[in-house]
Amino acid sequence: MTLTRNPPRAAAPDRRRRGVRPASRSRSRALPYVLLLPAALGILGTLVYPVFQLVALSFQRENLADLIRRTTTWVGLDNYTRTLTDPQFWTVLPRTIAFALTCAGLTLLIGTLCALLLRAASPWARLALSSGLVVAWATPVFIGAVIWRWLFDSEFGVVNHLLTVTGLCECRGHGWFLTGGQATFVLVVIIVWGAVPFVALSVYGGLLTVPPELHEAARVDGAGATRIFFSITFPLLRPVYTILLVLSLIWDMKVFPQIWFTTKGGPYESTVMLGVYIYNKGINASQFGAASSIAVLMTLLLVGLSWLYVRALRQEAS
Amino acid sequence: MKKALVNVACLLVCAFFVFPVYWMATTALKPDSDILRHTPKLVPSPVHWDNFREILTASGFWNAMRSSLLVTGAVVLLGMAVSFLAAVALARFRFRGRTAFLLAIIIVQMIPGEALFIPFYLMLRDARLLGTYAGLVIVYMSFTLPFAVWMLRGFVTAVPAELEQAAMVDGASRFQAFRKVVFPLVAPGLMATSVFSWITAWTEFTYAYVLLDEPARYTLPVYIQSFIGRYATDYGPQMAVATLFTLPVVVFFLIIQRRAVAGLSAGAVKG
Repeated sequence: MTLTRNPPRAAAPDRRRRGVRPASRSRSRALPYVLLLPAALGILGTLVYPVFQLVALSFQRENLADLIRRTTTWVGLDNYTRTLTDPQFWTVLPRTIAFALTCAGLTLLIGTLCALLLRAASPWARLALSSGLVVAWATPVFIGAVIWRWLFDSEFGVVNHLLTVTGLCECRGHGWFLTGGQATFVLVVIIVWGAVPFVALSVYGGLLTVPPELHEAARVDGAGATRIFFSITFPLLRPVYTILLVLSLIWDMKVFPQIWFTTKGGPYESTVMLGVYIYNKGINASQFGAASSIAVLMTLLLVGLSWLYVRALRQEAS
Repeated sequence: MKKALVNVACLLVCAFFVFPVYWMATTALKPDSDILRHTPKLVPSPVHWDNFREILTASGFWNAMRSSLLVTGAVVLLGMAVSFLAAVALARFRFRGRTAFLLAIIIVQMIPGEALFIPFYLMLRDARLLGTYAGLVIVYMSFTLPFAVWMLRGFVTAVPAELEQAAMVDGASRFQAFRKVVFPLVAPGLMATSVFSWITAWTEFTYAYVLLDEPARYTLPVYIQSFIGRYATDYGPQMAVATLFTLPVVVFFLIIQRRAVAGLSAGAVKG
């Protein structure tokens, strides 16, 4: 508003701005802070403070006994050394990263193919596909996991039935959650299914901004469809892809419900990712200090990724 | 010819994305004898409503529905009041600390909720709020608030300040100008933002699972999870609840999808 920018006048009533009484000047200076106060308190109390507590906990020995006795023992970097020398951490971390990269890569690939289909299709087919995508997008992630678990049911699941009927394999009664590899495959399907719609519609939105003349010109010059995509479309959409890649990686690194509704980390802990690892250590085993150190490391990783995201956003804006 | 191929491909891909949702709804409409069958029936015939009847007479379902409605209602009402005030401050005033606050809102959104299990658990335990609705509301507010402030700020900024100034020149007080001119124009944005917060709180599973221990207080997502048995899952009723749970989400999602994107970009472009 203009109020605070103008130099203060004498207390005489100002006819040009009669909605504003002189007494309200100091009040209006405080007003934005008053309006902001509840939100600021909320964010401080329920986000900033827990983060501080998380960091503090990661330097304490804090297990169930300490909690009950309400004692606090500072142990310096003990939790971190223990986490960083824990062989399980070094299986879970690379696994989570590989998993997130696989999911994000597949999501971007399939999302792009869907976007290209959307652009090439007739209006009615485009409407059908985009509505289908929106339905999958709107489905809550854990519901997606609930459904896919049922589709992959060993005895009565549709997937085994279809595989058997089409002659791809004699899969009746095949259990998908008995080996780590296959259980991970199902998780990838669940996550990619849920993540593709957002990517496909975003890329499609980006495709619409590419001037058709560019394609026309390239085609006249004899470029094929693949060549046109990699030499014209992709470079133009690079900022969009950066953002989508980073966002997908962040989302796929912290998966929890999808795992909890299907494998719970099994079989033999082969699908334990960082989120489940923290849950098992912290909530199940009550090793709050040790779990906090893992959570701090995970946060650093994700905030690093988010920082890339914000940078990409700003680049696109400028 | 090529166009026809593309169209067919579109339909196939569409089927891949829709089929799971279709299968959820139709499984809910089948009797156990059709669910537990080696050759599944593509269409439920005859349509069988017993799963829904069973769910709608189960006390667990109504408890969970009440929990979910109470928690999401509180999150949306409180969250909208708080974030709307903040959005007005950020969109309509220039004051010291404004940029810092905006930056804080962006940074805070990077904190992964999954990493805060433990501090939240201990904080709520110390406040004796573990296993209560209030505790869950606090947690959900913390996840929805920064985003809601950000989104609403976009909507308020999109209403030109000149409109309000014109009303004030015509003799309205600042509050009147706001209530009669700006508020009606922001109302759709407020609606979209509340739906967004509502969906976030309604579909949240992890914290509800960690923080609620009493089955009588389970929210719907935790209730749906409780169908998964150690050896077998009762698929018919589970799919019936899942369908009832998902339906309003899809409907609301369709309503706000475009508007939410508009609000986000408005917030991003204007400083």
